[in-house]
Amino acid sequence: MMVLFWIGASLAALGGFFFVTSGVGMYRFPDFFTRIHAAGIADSLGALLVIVGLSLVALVPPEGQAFELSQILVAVKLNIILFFLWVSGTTATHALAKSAWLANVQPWKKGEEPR
Amino acid sequence: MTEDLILRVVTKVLTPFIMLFAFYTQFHGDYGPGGGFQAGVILAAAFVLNALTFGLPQVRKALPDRIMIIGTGLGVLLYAGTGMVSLFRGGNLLEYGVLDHHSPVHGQHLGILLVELGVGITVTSVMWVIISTFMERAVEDAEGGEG
Repeated sequence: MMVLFWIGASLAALGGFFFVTSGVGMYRFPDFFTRIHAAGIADSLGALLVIVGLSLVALVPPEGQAFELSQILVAVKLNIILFFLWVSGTTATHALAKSAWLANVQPWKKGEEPR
Repeated sequence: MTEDLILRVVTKVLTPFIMLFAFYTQFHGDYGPGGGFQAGVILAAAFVLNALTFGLPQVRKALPDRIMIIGTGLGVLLYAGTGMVSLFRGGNLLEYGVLDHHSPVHGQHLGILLVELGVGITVTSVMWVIISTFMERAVEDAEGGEG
């Protein structure tokens, strides 16, 4: 069962990598729209990988014991959290982008100074 | 208030779950993380989300200001009343053990439940009254009132 643990742990670590890239992108990207694109990576792909990884780790039985049904409950709760993160995070990004567009924020074009 | 379809649908879908989570936080607060203050803030956040999406008058139909202002005092009354009842039953102020004459443990359960409920009612009402007053002001300013 150690295989399951290590698959879950590496998925969670990969998710952590996407959180770091998202943070770097927030600093380095040139304007508002590209920055919320970077922030959206953490909300969707980062959260997906971390939570799927953690629910795999939650399914690993304790040392020297049999698998218990209550471990499935933990995994299901984690995936409910993932569902709400996806719905609310993507909606927040959409609301930000749309209100910036309606407020006449001009997207950055190649060759311009970063804002 | 917004005409955006995505925001309206997502608000409608998420509102019952936010409220359910507020009540979970309220009543599970005796045994785990949570409690009246956090639950009150989450419940008020559900109302504020609806006010932002569907407009303040729509939410005021469900929560008249009269009732919410009574709520701000009612919670404090419940908190202080629990303390006074334990005083009259021969204990110290807010000594929950004396609230039940069979066992102190039952009294403590009852006492913490009532006190946290009082905190929850007050926090929900105060958050909503403060924020709806601010939002009302913003609407008046946008309509060109004497802001």
